[in-house]
Amino acid sequence: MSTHGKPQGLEHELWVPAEDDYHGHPNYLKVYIYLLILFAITVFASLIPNPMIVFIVVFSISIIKASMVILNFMHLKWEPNIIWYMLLLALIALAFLFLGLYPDTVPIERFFVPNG
Amino acid sequence: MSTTHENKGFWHRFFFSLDHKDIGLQYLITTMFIAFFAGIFAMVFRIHLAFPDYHIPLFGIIDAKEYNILVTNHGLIMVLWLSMGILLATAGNYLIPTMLGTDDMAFPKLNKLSYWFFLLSVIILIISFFLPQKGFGGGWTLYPPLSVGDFGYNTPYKTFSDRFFSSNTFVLLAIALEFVALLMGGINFMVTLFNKRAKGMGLLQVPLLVWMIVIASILFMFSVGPLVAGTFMLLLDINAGTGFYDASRGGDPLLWEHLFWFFGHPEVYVILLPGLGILAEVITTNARKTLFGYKFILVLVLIATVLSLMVWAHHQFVAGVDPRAATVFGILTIIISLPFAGVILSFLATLWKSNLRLTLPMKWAMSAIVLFTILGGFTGLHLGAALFDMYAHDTSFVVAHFHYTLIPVVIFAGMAGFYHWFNKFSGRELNQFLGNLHFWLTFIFFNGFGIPLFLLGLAGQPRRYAGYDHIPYLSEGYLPLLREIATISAVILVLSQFIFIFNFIWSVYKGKKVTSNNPWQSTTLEWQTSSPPPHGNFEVYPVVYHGPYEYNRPGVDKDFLPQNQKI
Amino acid sequence: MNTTSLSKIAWNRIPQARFAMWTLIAGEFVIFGGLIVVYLLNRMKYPGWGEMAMHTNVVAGTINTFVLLTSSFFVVKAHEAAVKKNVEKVKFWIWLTILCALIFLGIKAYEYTHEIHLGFTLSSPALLEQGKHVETLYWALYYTMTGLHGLHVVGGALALFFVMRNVAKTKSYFHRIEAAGLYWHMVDIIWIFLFPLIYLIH
Repeated sequence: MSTHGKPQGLEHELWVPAEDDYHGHPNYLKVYIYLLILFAITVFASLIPNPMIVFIVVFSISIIKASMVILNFMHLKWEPNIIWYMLLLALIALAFLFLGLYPDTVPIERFFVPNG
Repeated sequence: MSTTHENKGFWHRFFFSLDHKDIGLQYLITTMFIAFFAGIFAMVFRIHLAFPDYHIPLFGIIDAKEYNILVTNHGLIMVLWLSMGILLATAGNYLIPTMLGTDDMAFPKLNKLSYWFFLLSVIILIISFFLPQKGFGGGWTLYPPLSVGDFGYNTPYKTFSDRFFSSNTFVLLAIALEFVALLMGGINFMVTLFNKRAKGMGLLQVPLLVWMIVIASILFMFSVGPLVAGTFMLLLDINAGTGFYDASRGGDPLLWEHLFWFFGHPEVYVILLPGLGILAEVITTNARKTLFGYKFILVLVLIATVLSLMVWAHHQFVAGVDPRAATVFGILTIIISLPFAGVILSFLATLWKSNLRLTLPMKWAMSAIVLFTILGGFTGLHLGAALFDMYAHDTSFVVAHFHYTLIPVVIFAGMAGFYHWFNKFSGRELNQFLGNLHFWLTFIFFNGFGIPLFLLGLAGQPRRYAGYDHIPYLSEGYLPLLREIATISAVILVLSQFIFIFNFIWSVYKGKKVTSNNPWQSTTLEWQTSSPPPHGNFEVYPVVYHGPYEYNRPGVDKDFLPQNQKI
Repeated sequence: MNTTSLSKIAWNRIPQARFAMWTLIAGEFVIFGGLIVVYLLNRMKYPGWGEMAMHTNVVAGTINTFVLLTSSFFVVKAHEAAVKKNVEKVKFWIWLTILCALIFLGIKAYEYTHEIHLGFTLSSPALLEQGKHVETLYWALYYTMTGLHGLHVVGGALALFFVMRNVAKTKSYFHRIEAAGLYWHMVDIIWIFLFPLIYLIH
């Protein structure tokens, strides 16, 4: 919506200067440096010989990195609750997708080897 | 944004109008146009099933391939284009800004763009009928490997161009485009609800229909994601030789089933919620009573929305899913009936001791509730029990079940809404005699179609078969008679809709003009402006003082109190 | 005329463009999440996939991750500049971000060329001949996920470019920088998950 102006009678609609972003600001440089440190840890962790530990460590760090980006760079920390609820719903949907698909994929031998 | 559309001619308005009312009507016409074909397809294949030797006009005697194409496209069009086109796109576009007392949607240009995507999806679907395969015939559920290869066609895939310019690819592209259109529309509806309400209208004073459409759009947005990914993978399987759903390459056809139904089940609630919203509006107006349990209904619907993401595998009980998972899904399916039972009970409580006016919209609404709950809902409980489903899966019992859930919600509740709001969007009245004729014919012959189908399903008649003559146990006794009754009822049912189409077109041009803005004496905001509303919806934008269903309030002399009127 | 661009605030104090963008982002998370779930499940099932994962170029992937993380930083600096209405700085940071996008795409193109040269394609006929049916699925999913992500990188870069051009021309509409930036961050987050899953876990 832009500068063409509101129709008369809709003054109750709250139009405000959009350059004011209505949220707080973290120190972006600090966050970036933390991200780089976590990234370096991820890369070195991948050298550990035990694949299960690698998976757990690397995946957890990814979650932490993603959280830092979304909370700080995307300013989720200062956004209203409705945004949190929407993202939570997205996560719930994905969790159920994983749980629902798991019994049908992982424990089962389904592929066949074609003859010849 | 120009405010002088009216003088610029039809085509200018068609292409450039950003007014949500114009866009809503465009959705209505486009949806009715494509649904017309789906209805004809249904008549044709039903006639083939009951009277296999009959030469159907324009189609001749159809063979198995053509039968599959007709059945598949009937399902695709009705579920993906008609239901959401009418209940989400048309109702949402036309009614959300008017009911909220504001001038237009939050993003009018995005709204227009979403219509273009929708129209494009319809055009691509129609093109799929003219490609070498003459239409996709693999079932509306598009299961691979049938939907991947060139099975059953006389047109083998030899080159990339064969694969790309095939009905399979084009149907998938049409579906993808339609999803994009609905995603854009959903974002628009949601932001409009939160940002563009009339002064004084808190979230709990918003008419239930608006909430239902927005919640349905949010549910759509979150369930369609994996299917978008899955559709992309299916398109690659068809065109690029990947093996996502090919068991010999480590892929899994069951994966598609899961991704499809992960969306497919919430999809039916995406269709149901706006239908319930329309029923709420029609019932409160015609019962002259406040909606019972507005907050209660909202909470139940939100619970059902979250639950609906957890029940999808009840469509796959016989596909070889892990029985332990099947148990969980079955239990959750039975549980999800509870919130919806709560909503229906709230509607019944609204009707209890009310001042019932049995107008035409009310007849549609009452039959919607009865047919949906008793014949659709209860049979859903039957099918949710995995053991029963093992017997009934892929029989006509399932077909009858989903027709008894979908048709009451899309057609009966949709018609209730249409007859209710027709005078608002056209400024004229529909012919009552034709309306009653339409209603009774639809009601009688829909049941004439559906009830035999339940019986046939219990007798073991499978669905998606192009004929039953070669099966002895289905061709003896009263079963062929049931098929004939179902077919004749279905044909009359589809033909009765032409009465409606005639009534619609006639009344738009020659119908009696309404004498009042608010002939139903309803309280919501769209009735407090002229019929049809002007560009911008209101001469003076309303201020809201109380909830949307203030009927028979003590201290007020009329039996209704419009939302923008102080006591 | 220097018109101040206005944006609407909802009942819960979020401007309209951001609200819409968050909704889109949540939807995109479910789309990519679906693909990632499919990948995870298949990865858990087939040890042969771990073998295939060794053929991905870890160095290229690492550089790309660094590039995207840095581009996220650049785009949020552009947002900071936009809040202060500093058109020149906005242009500077956005151009840097777009440069990062181009570097990412370039490295990705190099990777794809190398992998296709080795016979790993969407359908991998070479692997099929060797009887490695399951492994072809790995590459199909690899190209699908990274390809779809790449398309989003292109889309995000284009969006940032057009928004920046608009801001530079009209000296207003600064709030759109943040909206486009949100989309860019989403693209970065998706890569944060894709990188370890595809490149690091063996």
